[in-house]
Amino acid sequence: MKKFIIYIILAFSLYIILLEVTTRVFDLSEQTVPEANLNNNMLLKPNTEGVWVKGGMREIASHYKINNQGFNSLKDYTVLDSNKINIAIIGDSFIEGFHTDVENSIGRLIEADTRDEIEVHEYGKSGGNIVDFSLIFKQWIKNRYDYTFILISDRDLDAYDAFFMEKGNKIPKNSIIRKIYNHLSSIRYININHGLHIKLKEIFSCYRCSKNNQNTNITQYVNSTALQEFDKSCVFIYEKDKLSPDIIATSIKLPCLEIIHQNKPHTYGFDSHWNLNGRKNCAWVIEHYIKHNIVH
Amino acid sequence: MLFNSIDFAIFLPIVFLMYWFVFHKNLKLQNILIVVISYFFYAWWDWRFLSLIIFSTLVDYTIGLKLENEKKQLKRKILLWVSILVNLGCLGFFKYYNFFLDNFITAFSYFGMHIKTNNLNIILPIGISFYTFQTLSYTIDVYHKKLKPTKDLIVFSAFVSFFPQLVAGPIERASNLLPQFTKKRIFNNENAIKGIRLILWGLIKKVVIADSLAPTVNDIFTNFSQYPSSILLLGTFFFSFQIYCDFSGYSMIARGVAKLFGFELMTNFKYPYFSRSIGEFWRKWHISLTTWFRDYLYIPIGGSRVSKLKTIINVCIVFLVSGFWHGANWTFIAWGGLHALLFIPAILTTKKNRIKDHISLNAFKLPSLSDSIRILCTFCLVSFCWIFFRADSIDTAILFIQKILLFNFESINYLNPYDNQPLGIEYLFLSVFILVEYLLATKTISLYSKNRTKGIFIDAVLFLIITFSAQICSNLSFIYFQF
Repeated sequence: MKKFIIYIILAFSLYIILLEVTTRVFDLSEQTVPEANLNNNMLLKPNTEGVWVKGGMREIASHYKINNQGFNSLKDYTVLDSNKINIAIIGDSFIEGFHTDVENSIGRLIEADTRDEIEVHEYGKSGGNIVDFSLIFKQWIKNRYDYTFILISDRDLDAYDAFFMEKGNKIPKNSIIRKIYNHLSSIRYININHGLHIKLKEIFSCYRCSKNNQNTNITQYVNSTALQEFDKSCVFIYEKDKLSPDIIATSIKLPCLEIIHQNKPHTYGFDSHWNLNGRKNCAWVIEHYIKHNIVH
Repeated sequence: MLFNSIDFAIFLPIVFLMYWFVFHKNLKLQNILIVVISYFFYAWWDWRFLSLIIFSTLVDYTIGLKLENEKKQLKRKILLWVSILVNLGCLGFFKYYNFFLDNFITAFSYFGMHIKTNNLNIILPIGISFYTFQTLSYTIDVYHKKLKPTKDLIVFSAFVSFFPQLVAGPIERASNLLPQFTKKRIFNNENAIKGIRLILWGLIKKVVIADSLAPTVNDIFTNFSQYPSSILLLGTFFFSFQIYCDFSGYSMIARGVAKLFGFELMTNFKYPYFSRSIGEFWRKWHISLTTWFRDYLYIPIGGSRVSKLKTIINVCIVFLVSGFWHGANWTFIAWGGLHALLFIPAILTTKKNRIKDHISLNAFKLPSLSDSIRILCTFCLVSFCWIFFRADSIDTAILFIQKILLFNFESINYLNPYDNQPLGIEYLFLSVFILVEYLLATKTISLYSKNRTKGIFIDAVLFLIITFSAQICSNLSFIYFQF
């Protein structure tokens, strides 16, 4: 038995070394995008830039740039041009947009299509829910933009607690474990591509609860208080299968636009976020709505 | 719990350490641990169906004991039939109820009788076909006095529910596995290292080959009407490798895990795609099921010791039942029937003309031209039959074949739906895999390493390849779990 355990330890150590070397040489591991406490909000560290990597074989490698406000965008959201139509887009990871180059974000696509007649600011943060969106709206958007588009799904609407807004104090301190994690490309690779952290959490905390939660796509509860925070400048956008028609009919009083898949959004098996085609679809819906509104 | 999941990667070391460090002094405690962890392993999927395994265990355990004490042949026969009816009754209800109901309704509708019934929403308990056959073999062997029944319920429960092979085999014979539970297990370093290699190679087959081919196969078989013949042929050949790697991968992992716990399970696959005839293929494919049908169905109904015509009928019965065992769909029966037709020439040829299982190689380690052609032809025939196995219905399979027969070899840039990229890495994986399998089949290389340092390096590299190929959310279930 002793020999076998030594064999396993040696094989496993060699495996970790090989994994570390390979992931570094081929740049397969995501560099963690650092978070920052900005006015007590848990956002991304301003003025950081890099390549965001996902996929076992670097299938996604996209350029990101964090602006002064802590969002992934080429622009800082300080000055608005009164000669342009100013719009804001709020949402979760789909709007945050790490899955394509920041140069191809929904905002940049709209601006390019309209020859800069429209100025777009994107307020996206992964994990965000309706409470976060309402707080973003109150803090940065209300009465500043001509239009605000909010990407929602069933799962965003049943939250009663913000995920990242007003949670700046929750940013993990640079503990030894975290430093090791940040420095070990192999561990980051396993964590991102095999969901090690999520799996361990599931198994050792509340496996059944989390499993049930994952399976719940259609919610029966809607946080109507958060929904009431949005004013008439706001428009909700959604994907057909991700927002129930009942909720649209009964709970949402503002306009709702369905994102029509004009371009086939190819998603990866390991990542269901939009690629460029998905973003084009979203941009087209927003542009079309604005043009239609101006004409009328 | 899937072998290719992180859940299992955590489960296995824990139970391994408990088994060899906490419970190693007492055989009974080790067996109790095996039963508990096997039930836990099964309950991870759905705890409700544990009752079915326990029920099956109790029935066959009791009947086994009664058979030993019973001297009257009639009563013994009744006991045997009780076991057969209970086991096949459970299997029939859970697996075939809706199939029979639908077919009865369809059959009556031909005579103008329209019967209104409701289909039951029955969930197929995972692995039911495997453990049912395993327990049946025990009762039949006891009935034929080939095996002494065990008086130890824990041992018998462990035999029925042994977790490495509980859900997808190999279907073990009581005469092989049961005695292993009654002997004290001593940890064997060499065997454990072999077990690790088997697990890793099994995972390579499953995760690297089968799972990487799955999106392409699923897409081609779902949208076959949109593709030319060339793509459909590609889908067919890919499925041949997918199902082989998926199932043989599972069997290898099962054998490897069993070795870690001091058990030996039978080899289920012996490089079947290097067979030179359908007969040889069936001696190398899903061996545990093939031999089960041979011993408990083919031979009892006469086998080959009857006239040629009767032998052909017997073979057809076995293949049709084997097809039906796989699933409640006419596609599986058609698959079995096709194999029966392909098997008939082997019955008609004399024993002298039958080819040996070992391929003779020339100086370049290559088979002769005639053997190469035979291997290729057998593979193409087997792949053709897989179309029925994979298709949703007979109609779909026929349409799929019709589309192939259009011989439209239009060159299209097929994109893998998984990553929207042209197939490239899949071809590479498959080519390397076929080469390694060939070298293993011809015994040019061995799966196990005699040199310890080399072994450590190979295991680390295999694990590395698995890590790079496996992806979150893509740990797909094994195809044979549905049977």
